[in-house]
Amino acid sequence: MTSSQKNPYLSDEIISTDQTSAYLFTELNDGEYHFVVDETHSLDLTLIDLSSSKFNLKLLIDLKRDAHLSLSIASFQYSNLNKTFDIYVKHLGDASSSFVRFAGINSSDNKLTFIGTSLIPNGIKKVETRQEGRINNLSSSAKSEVSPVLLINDNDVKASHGAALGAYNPDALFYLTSRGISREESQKLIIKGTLSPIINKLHDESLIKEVNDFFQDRKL
Amino acid sequence: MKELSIQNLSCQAESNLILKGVNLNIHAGDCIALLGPNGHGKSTLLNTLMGSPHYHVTEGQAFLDGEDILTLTPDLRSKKGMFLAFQNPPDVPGVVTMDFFRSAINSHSEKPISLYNFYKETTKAYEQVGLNSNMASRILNEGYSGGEKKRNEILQMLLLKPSIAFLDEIDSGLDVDALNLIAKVINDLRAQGTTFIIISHYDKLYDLIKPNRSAIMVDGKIVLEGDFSLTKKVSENGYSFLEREYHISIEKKEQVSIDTCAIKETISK
Repeated sequence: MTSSQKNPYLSDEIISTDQTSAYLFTELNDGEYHFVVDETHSLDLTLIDLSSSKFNLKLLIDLKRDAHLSLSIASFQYSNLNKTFDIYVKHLGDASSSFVRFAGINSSDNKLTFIGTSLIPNGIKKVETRQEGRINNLSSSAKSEVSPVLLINDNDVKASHGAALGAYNPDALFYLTSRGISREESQKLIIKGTLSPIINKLHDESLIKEVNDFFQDRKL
Repeated sequence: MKELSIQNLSCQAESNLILKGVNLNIHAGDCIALLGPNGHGKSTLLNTLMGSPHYHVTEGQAFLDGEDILTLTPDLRSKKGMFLAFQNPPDVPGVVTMDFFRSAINSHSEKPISLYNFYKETTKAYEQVGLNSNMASRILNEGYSGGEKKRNEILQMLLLKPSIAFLDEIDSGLDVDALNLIAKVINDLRAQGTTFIIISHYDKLYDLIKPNRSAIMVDGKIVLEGDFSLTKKVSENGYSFLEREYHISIEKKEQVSIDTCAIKETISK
C-alpha cells in the first residue's frame, strides 16, 4: 500500500501489509504513537515537517521477526517554538531491520531536537539498524540537538549511528554568493538540496510542488 | 568595466594583518600575472576583492569604475562583473550543480533563462572545458577530482561572462591538455575584452597567455610592477633578485601572537 497525505490524523497502528506512506505536515502537535510492524512486513515511512508549531512527537515502533522499517524525516525549523522528534525503535524479533534518518534545517533562534533510539534486547539475533541525524543551522542563534542512540544487548547485530550538526560551511555560502546568488537564495538552495532527497519521497506531484512553493515564497 | 583601482588596501584574518597597503590599478583589457612567494598575500588579495568572510578589511578601498566595491556583498560584486576562480572550490553539500548554475545565470539577468537556452549554454560550456555534461546532476564540487574542480571553475566563468576575472592557481593539478584548453578559454575571453588577474606558480600558463603586465607581491604589498619580461625573469631566476637588485627583503615580518592557536573542528559522519 502506498499513500501520500497532507496533515493526516496519526493514530496507533499495526502494520500487517507492506506499507509505504509519506506525510506532509504543515501543522503538527504533541503526540505519542505506537506502531507495530508484523512479522515479515515492512513500513517505509516519510515525515516532512513544515509546521510552525511547538511539539514533542514521539514515535514508538516495534519490529517483529523479519520486519523492516525505513523512516525518513525532514524538518524545517523556522518557528519561535521548540520542536522535538523522539523516535524509539524496538527490535522484538530476529532478523528485523531499521533505518532511521533525520535531516533538519534550523533557521530559527529556537531548538530543533532529534533523538533516535534503537533497542536490541538480549537474545534477539541478526538485527540490522542505523540511526542517522543531520541538522544544519542557518541562524547563528539556532540551537539544535542530534542524538542517535543504540542500546544493544546482543552481539549478533549490525548497528551504526551518525550525527552531523553545525553551522553551514561559510566557505560554501561565500562560494554561492560569489556567483551572484543572493545570500537568501543561496540558503534556499542549501535547504532545498538538504531536504529534497526526503521531500521527493512524497511521490505526489502536487504535494512536492506545495513544498517547493513553500520554500520559494519564504522570506528567510 | 573600465578600471579597478585598489588603494592602500589592508586586511586581516583573525588578528593577523595579511595585506599591508596594496596599491594596484587595473585597466580594461589588462591581463596581470600576480606573482610572489607563497604565503605573501596573493590569494588573500583576490579573496578580499571578492568579499570572502575570512578577511576583514582594516584600511583602504577598491574602486570599480569609481564605486567602492568593498562595501558590497559578494553577490553584488559578481553582478558588477567580478569573478573569482577559487583555488580550492569548496564542496556544497546538498546543492545540485545544475540548480546552482541556473540560479547563478538567473541572478545575472533580468528574466529567468529558458530551459532550452540553459541546456544549450551549459552543454556548450561543458564541451569547451572538456567535461561530461552529466556532471551537472552531481552535488556541486562533491567528489570532483582536482582537475574537474578547476575545469568547473572555468566553466562557470564561461557561463557568467565576467568583465574582470581573478584566477587563483587555476593551473595547479592540471594535465597538459587541460592546461592548453584553459589557456584557450582565457585567450578567447581576453579577445572579447575580459580583464584578468592570474596567480600561477608555473610559467607554462603564463607562456600560453602572455600577460601584458606583472605585479610582485611581498609581505602584503605590491613591491614591483613590470611587463611580461618580469614574469619571465621570475620564472627563470626565482625571487632572490628582488633583494639583490631592488633591496626588497622577501622575509615576512611575522607578528608574534600570544593567543592560543588551537583550532578544534569536529564533524562526525
